[in-house]
Amino acid sequence: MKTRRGEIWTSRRALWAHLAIAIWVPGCSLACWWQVQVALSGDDLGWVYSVMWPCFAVFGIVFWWHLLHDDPEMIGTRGLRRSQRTAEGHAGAEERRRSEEAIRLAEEQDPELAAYNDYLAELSRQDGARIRPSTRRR
Amino acid sequence: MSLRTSSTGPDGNAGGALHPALLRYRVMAYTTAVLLIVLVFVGIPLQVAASSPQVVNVVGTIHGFCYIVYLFTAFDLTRRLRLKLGKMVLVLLAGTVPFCAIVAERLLTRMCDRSTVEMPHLTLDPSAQQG
Repeated sequence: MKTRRGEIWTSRRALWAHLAIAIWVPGCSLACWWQVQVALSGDDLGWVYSVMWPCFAVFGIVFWWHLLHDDPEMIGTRGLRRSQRTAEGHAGAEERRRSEEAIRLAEEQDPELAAYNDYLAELSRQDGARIRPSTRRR
Repeated sequence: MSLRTSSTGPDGNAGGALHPALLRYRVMAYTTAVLLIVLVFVGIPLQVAASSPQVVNVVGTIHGFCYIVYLFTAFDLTRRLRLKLGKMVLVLLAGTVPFCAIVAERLLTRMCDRSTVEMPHLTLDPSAQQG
């Protein structure tokens, strides 16, 4: 299940993320400003922290961006299993498509093989017709 | 791309190189953890008992910047491993509690090892898994 394009900005999860980032970024800015004041008042260590706080703000924005764009259905163990099933489904379908293609090519090149395959298919149909009533009786 | 890179042997483990994302995270986890232990168990006693703040100033600064890098590597790895939000945040915060980053590193490394066995389809590239 994939979320539609517009929904990623307005889902419940996204709204919480907006709230968090709306607190986080001004908070980091304030802390940065406070450390600049500390640095200006003579404590040189303040310069270090006044560089660090904007880094934390940037990280918050990166986190928020990914939170919005990750599909919640695909996260966690359940998401893993889901993606595993999907991958297996795709692989199975692809496998079938390839073998059907190979048979079709082989039959095109070899009319005798095609005739034999038709004969087998006909036998299989007759078997099915014969077996089915008997299974119904049991 | 699997959890182990393509240099992985046929048994999937022996001699296989770590995935770059896991390697980056492990390096940063150990660096951050060691710096924090030095800061808390050497620097702070020195500052409090001997009132010499040099160790705290230097190690604290380095730890601060390492922690920022740790944040990015940890976020990258936990996203690739599809951890839930709560666990992801715990891993990120582990860099600020002494010894916790080491525990988190162990757990995540084990998780990577396990997922290659139990979930061989798992890739460390989330974009390739969508759909």
